[in-house]
Amino acid sequence: MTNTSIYILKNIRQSYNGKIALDIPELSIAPGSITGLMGPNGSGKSTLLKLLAFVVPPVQGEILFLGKPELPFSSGVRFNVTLLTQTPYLLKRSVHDNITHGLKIRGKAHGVKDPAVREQVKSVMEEVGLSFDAFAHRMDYELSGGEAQRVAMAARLILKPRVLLLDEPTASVDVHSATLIRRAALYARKTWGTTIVIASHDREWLQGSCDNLFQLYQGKIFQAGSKNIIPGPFVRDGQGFFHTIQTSQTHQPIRVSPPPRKNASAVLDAHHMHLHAADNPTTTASTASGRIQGKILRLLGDKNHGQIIVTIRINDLDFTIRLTRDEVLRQQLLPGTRVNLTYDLDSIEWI
Amino acid sequence: MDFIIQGVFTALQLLTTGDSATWSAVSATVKVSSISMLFSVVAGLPCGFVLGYFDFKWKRGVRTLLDTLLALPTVFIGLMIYALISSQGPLGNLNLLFTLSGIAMGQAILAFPIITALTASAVETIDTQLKLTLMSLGAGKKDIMLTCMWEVRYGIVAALVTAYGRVMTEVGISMMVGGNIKWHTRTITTAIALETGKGMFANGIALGLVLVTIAFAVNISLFFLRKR
Repeated sequence: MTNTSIYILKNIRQSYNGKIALDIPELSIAPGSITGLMGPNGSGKSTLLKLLAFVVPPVQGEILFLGKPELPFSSGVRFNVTLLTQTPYLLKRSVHDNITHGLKIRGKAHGVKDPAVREQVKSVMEEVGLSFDAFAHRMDYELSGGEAQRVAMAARLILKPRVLLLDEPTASVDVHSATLIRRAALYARKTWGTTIVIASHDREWLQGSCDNLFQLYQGKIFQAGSKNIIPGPFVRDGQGFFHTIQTSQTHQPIRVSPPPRKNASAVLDAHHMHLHAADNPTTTASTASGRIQGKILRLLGDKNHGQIIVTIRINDLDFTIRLTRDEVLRQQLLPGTRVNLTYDLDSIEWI
Repeated sequence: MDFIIQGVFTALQLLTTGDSATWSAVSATVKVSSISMLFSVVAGLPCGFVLGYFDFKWKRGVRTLLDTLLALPTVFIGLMIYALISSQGPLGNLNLLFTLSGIAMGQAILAFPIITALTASAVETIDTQLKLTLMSLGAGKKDIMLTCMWEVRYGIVAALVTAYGRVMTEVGISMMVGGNIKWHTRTITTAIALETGKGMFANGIALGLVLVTIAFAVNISLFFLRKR
């Protein structure tokens, strides 16, 4: 956490009807960075983005924006931060009026005939692949889902925001629209130094473009690739070991230490996990360790740490660990390679 | 049947020749309904927005009360206003009895629950994403309120038209509070009631035609507004 961070979150806790949706002791985001948020539905990604967008206040804790604690509607954030949701709302107006609405709120649009505004609209529409002549005067109901999402993106880009928050912006649009939205986000960072936070299930996009990648699970946040979560419940076998419930013949029970409570989820720290090719004879498991077998799903280079992020599919879960390039080459790891993962049961944490 | 056809022809003659008694009733109606609508809109629109937009403890109770007031009989409102503004009533010193202002007061009470309830219903249909979208574009509280109202403008216009129609066509308040005084507080509806009672169908039909024409003009205007 540094003073140069654009965001600093301290002891944030958000809850809905008494159920904790987000619990973040501390988090900081550097200006001009691209931060990715991954996690299953209901893990807290959207809640975190709404807090960062200052559209809801935190139940507990504080959010510093450029070093100052801020709340919804405060002047320090109103015109600096903007959020694009998965299913954006377009006003019942033309595309042009939707795009300029944010400018009107700022008192920067003085009518449809303002040539400066027209040029700005044209420019941002081009950024999201929409022709001004063909689309500017269309009404909201004359757009497809992908076009509507791109209009919403253009309405954010025209504000030249300091922070652009994207909540699964490509989840319900076609491939072409998704590509244009991704490109537009990068354009904002490159052109105005916009800080971007993206919540998405598109792991490849996040890993390919983010400077920092976090994983959320049950409202808790982890550095992505550093923790692997095994959801409960767990059962005890005849030998007294606990493991996940075997749901099918092909399901591989994952052994864990005794869970502290029913429905707790186990967290395996990637640093305490070891990967070996399946045919490696050194792979053994003792009563104090667990061993699971899976297939490498993908290998991705981590541009920030110079490491390779290896994703292994086990049952329906994706485990990630980081290896050096040399280690990957030495073990001749490729997508599809069968591997063993071993871990100490004592290293398991619980949430 | 002949007397009805004869009545329509006489009505057209009265309207085109500018019969002063007929036009006095038309003028009184337009004046009183405009004033009452002005007051009920100023009070009803914000109340309807608050009721539709926010959640609060007694919201369901307030909605039930408003829905009940939608069916309030005009003679009952007339009676209450009469009691309030008659010389023995608490507002007797205002001398509002048998005046257009007195009628406007009653009609505003008639229109208020209609505007409030229908505006609240329109506002309740606002997508939950709208507020989030507006806040994320930098909107302040006033911007959010105005934009939300604009987004449900057709619903609000429908509320206003419904209320205007009710106010224009009511008889009970105008008759009881206004007293149906010729050249003074006689409105279209009270005049129709009186003329029909006297067997003067032509005058009644003429005034009825005016009412229908006003309603038609309002709806045609709305149709073109929607198209814009």
